[in-house]
Amino acid sequence: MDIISILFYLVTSVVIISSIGLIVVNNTVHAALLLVLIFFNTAVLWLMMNAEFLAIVLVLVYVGAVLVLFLFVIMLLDIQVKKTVSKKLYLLFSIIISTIMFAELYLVIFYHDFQNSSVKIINQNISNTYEIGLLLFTEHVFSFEVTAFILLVAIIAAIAINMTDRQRALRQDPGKQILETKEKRLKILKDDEI
Amino acid sequence: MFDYIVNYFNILLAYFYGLSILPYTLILITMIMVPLLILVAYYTYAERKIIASMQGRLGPNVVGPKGLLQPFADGVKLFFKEIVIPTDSNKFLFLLAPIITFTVAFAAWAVIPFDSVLVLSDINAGLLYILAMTSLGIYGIIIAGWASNSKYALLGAMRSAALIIAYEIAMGFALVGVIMVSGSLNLGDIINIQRGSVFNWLWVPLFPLFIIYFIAGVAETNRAPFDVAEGESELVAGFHVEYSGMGFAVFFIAEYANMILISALTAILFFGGWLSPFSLDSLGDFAINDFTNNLILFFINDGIHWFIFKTLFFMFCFIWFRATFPRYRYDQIMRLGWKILIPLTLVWIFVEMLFIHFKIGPWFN
Repeated sequence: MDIISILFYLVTSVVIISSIGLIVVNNTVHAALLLVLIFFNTAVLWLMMNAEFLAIVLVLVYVGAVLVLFLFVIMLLDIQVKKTVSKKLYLLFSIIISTIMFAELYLVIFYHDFQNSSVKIINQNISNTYEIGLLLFTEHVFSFEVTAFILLVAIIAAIAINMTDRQRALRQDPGKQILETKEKRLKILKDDEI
Repeated sequence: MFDYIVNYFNILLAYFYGLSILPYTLILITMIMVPLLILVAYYTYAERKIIASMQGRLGPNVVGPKGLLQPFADGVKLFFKEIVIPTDSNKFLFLLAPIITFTVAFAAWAVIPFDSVLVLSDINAGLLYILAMTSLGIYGIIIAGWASNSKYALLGAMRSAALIIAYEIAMGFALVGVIMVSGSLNLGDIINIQRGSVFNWLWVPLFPLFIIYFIAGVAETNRAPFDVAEGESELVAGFHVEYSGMGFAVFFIAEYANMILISALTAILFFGGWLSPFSLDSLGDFAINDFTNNLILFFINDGIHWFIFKTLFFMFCFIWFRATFPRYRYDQIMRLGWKILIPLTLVWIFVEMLFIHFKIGPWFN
C-alpha cells in the first residue's frame, strides 16, 4: 500500500467516524465542529483528486463562512439538551429517509457510467482553476448568473426581514452624530453658576 | 555575492531533495518558521520601543543591552506560568483553540513567494489558499470563547468574530480587484505582472483597494484602532480572557504572525513583492571597484531584501497606527466595515472594469 492510499483510508475513516459522531453527539456545538472536520477532510479528498480549486473553495465558503454563522447562532441560543423524548418516531423517520438516500446513492454509483461522461479534460497544461473559470463563464454562464441572482434576492430578503421594526431598535444615527458640535453639547459653568 | 549564496542554496536543495521529499519539506518549513518566530519575538520588542519613543518614554531597557533580550524574558515568564483551565470548561476544545489559531496563522506562509525561486509551494490557487487559511483563524477565536465557559469570553469571541466576518468581505473584494488585473491566482504571477518601475506596481491603479485592504487587514488582526477584542483600557480582554501562560502566549504569537502576514501580502499584492523600485538601465556606471559595484548592484536588483524592506515598512505602520489613532466605538467599526468599505470596493471594481475595457495605463494592456 503506498502513501496515497494510506492517506485516503485515513481521511475517509475520519469522515465516516465524524459523520456518525455528528448524528450521535448531544451537544450541538460539538456537532457543528464535527461538521467542520468533515468538510475539511472532504477538501483533502478533493485535493487528492487534483481538484484544488474545489477543495480550497469548500474550505473558504463552507468552513470559513457558512459554518461560522452556524456556530454563531448555536452558541448564542440557549439550547437545552433534551433527555427523554420518545425516540421511536424519530427512528422510524430516520430509517425511511436513510433507506431512500441509500437507494439513490446506490443507483447513482452503480448504474452511472463515470468513465464516459461529464469529465472532459480540455487541456492538460492549463490549471484546474482556470478550466473551471472558463467553463463557468462560457458553457454554464446562464446557470451561473441565475445562481448569482438568487443569492442576491436572498441577501435582500434577509435584510428586509431584519429591517421591520426600526422603531424599537436602539440605533445610532451617524448623520446626527457627525452634525453635533461642541457648542451644542458642552457648557462651561462659572463658579457662581454651580 | 548573492549569486554564490543562491548557488550554494541550490546545491543544498538538490542534496536535500535527494534525501526524500518529506524531510526536505520539513527542513524548508523550519527555514520559514524559525525566522518568522524570531521576527515575531522582536516585533513585540519593536512595538514597545517604537510606541515608547512616540510617547516620550524609554520602553524596555533592562534585560540585556538596550533591552534586546526582553522578548526572551517574556517568553520564559509565560512558559513557566501555570495554565489555568476554568471549571466546567471543555478541556479539549479549550486547549485546541490556541493551536488552531497558531497553525492557521503559519499555514498561510506556505504560498508566500519570498523571491522568484524561494517559495515553498507554488500553487496556482495561491491567493484563494491564503483567503481560506485566514478565514479559518476565526475558529480559534470562537472555540476559545465558547470553551472557556465564561460569558465574558463568549461575548468577546462574538465581538471579534463579527468584526472579522465584516472586514473579511471587504478584504476579499479588494483581492478581487488584484485578481482582475493579474488574471491569475498565483502570487508569483501577481508579482510578475507588476514588473517595471514603481508606477507599474498595483498601488497606483488600485489605490482605494490598497487602502481598504490594509484597513481590513488591521481589523482582521484585531489591532488598534479596531482592537475591540483586547480593549485594555475600557473592558476586560475578549475571547482569551481565561487563558494564562502558554495558552495566552500562543494567541499572542499568532496575532503577531498574522500582522506580519498582512504586511507581507500588502507588499506582494500592491507593492511588487521582491521587485526593485529602480530599473537597472536607468543607472549610469558605478565602477568604483568590483566589490562595491557588486554590492550596489545586488541592492538595486530584485531580490528578497526588497520584499523584507516592504514588509517591515507595513509592519511599522501597524505599530504607528496603534500609537496614533484612538479606538473606534463598536457600532462605528461595523458601520465602517459594512456601509463604507464594502460599497467602496464594489465601486472601484466597477471603475477597474472600465479601465480594463478601455485599456488604460500600463497596467491594463
